[in-house]
Formats: sequence, structure tokens, C-alpha cells
Amino acid sequence: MNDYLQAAFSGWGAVALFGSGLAMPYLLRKTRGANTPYLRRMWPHFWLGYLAFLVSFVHAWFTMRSGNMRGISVAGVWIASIALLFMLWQIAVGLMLRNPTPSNRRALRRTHFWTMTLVAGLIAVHIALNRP
Amino acid sequence: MQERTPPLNAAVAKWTIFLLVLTIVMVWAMRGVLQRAGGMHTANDSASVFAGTAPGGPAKVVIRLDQVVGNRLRGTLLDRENDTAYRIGLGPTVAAILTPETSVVMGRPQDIAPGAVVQIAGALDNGRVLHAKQVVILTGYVHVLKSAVTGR
Repeated sequence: MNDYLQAAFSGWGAVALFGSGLAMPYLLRKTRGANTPYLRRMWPHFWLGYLAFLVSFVHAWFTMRSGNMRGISVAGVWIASIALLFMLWQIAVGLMLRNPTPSNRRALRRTHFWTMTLVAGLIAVHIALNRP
Repeated sequence: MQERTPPLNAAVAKWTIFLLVLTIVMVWAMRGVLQRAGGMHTANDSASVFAGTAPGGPAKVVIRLDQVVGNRLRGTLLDRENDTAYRIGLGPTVAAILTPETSVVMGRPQDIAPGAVVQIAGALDNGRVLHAKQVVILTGYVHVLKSAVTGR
């Protein structure tokens, strides 16, 4: 598999994982007959988040290791790098949210939501700027 | 207090819509990726094949650009060693012309500069000038080996 296919498949894989992870809280929020607590039902959201970060990192690795930056929007690469850092931040906030009792839970949830929105926007701009 | 839950049908509908949207986005993305990958198949044409191409016929060559003047390009024909390696050929230099219809793949028009490795697909005119329909920027994706004969 050539560099382009590796970068493309890993990139779109990361998009699929991020999008799926993003949808999970809305899909798992209320389900009839669900006796398990909400946070325990959210395990697919947690794992999709970790996987999205991991696959994004692999995508960045595939792209950077070739060392070929000709024809690639540098702004798009910077935006992707910032998005990757925000994804790490998002995981940290998410880990704090796994504890159901903190007093600042509301603020954390709000931060988690707006970080998700920011990362989604950065990913969209990255795709627009760096698609060959 | 009991949690208000939507009926089962609503949950099934939510999941169906989610899976449908995910499938559509992935199929669209993969289709685009595979189409682009298909367009990146590099030419196998050697100097002799290019020399034998009749005027008016389609031609696809990989060249290293030596000169770029406006929309006129001149470059050295490269012989394919494998997917990522090309050798400087012993054939004639190739002249090509960019037209308003020329599409640039895997890079930007600014990448069409002396020293760049490009694949040009188009049609040869009577003066053996290649009228480019598509230019694929291969710089960085392939490397150029020196010719064993000329050492260039």
C-alpha cells in the first residue's frame, strides 16, 4: 500500500471513529429497558474516543514520515496538529467526567462539548485544505 | 422518579440513521480515495514507447522538468524501475504544453517547476509536443536514480 493510501485510509478511519464517538452520547442517552447507569452504558464512547486519537496519531505518522511536504497546505497540517492536541485534552476532560461526583461536572461537560465542536471544525478545515 | 425513555422504535430509528449516515460518508470517502489512487498509477512508457507514439495519439510520460517557461514545459524522460523509483532515460527530451483544461493532481500548479518530477498525460501533436490533460506531481513520492550510462 502506498503512502497516499495509508494516509487516506487512516485519516478517514479517524474521521469515522471521531464521528461515531461523537454520536454515542446522543444514541446511548435514553434507551428503553436499559437498567445500567448512563456512565456505564457510555463505554463505546470512551473507547471510540481513545481509538480516534490513536488512529489520528497513526495518520499523522504516516503523513510525516515520508517527509514530503510539497503540494501540501502547511496551514492544514498545523490545524491538524492543533486538533490532535485538543483531542488529547478532550481525553483528559473525558477521564475526569468518568467520575460521576465532581462538583464542577457541569463545567467539565460544557468544556467537553465545546472542545468536541472545536475539534470537529478543525478536522473539517484540515480535510478541506489537505485533500489531494 | 423514573427516567423518561423514548419508545424502542425511536431508538432503532436513531441507530439506523446513524449507521446509514456513517455508511454513506465512508462509501463517499473511500470512492474518492480509490478514484485518486487510480489516477496515480504511474506510466510505464519507456523512451522507445514514447518515440513510437503517433501524433494525435494519447501518451503518458514521467519526466523530470528541466525548463518551465509560462505554460511550456521541457523535461527529461524517466524510465520506471519500480513504483517509487525512476531512472533518467537516454531518450529525447519531452516538450509539453499546459492548457486551460489541464488538471493538476497531488499538488498545486506552483509545484510545476524545474527539478519537479511529474507525470503528464495528454495527446501528442504533429510537432511531438504533448498537450497535457493531467499533470500528477510525483516529487517526493518517487525518487530519481542516476543513469548508469550518463551518470546524470
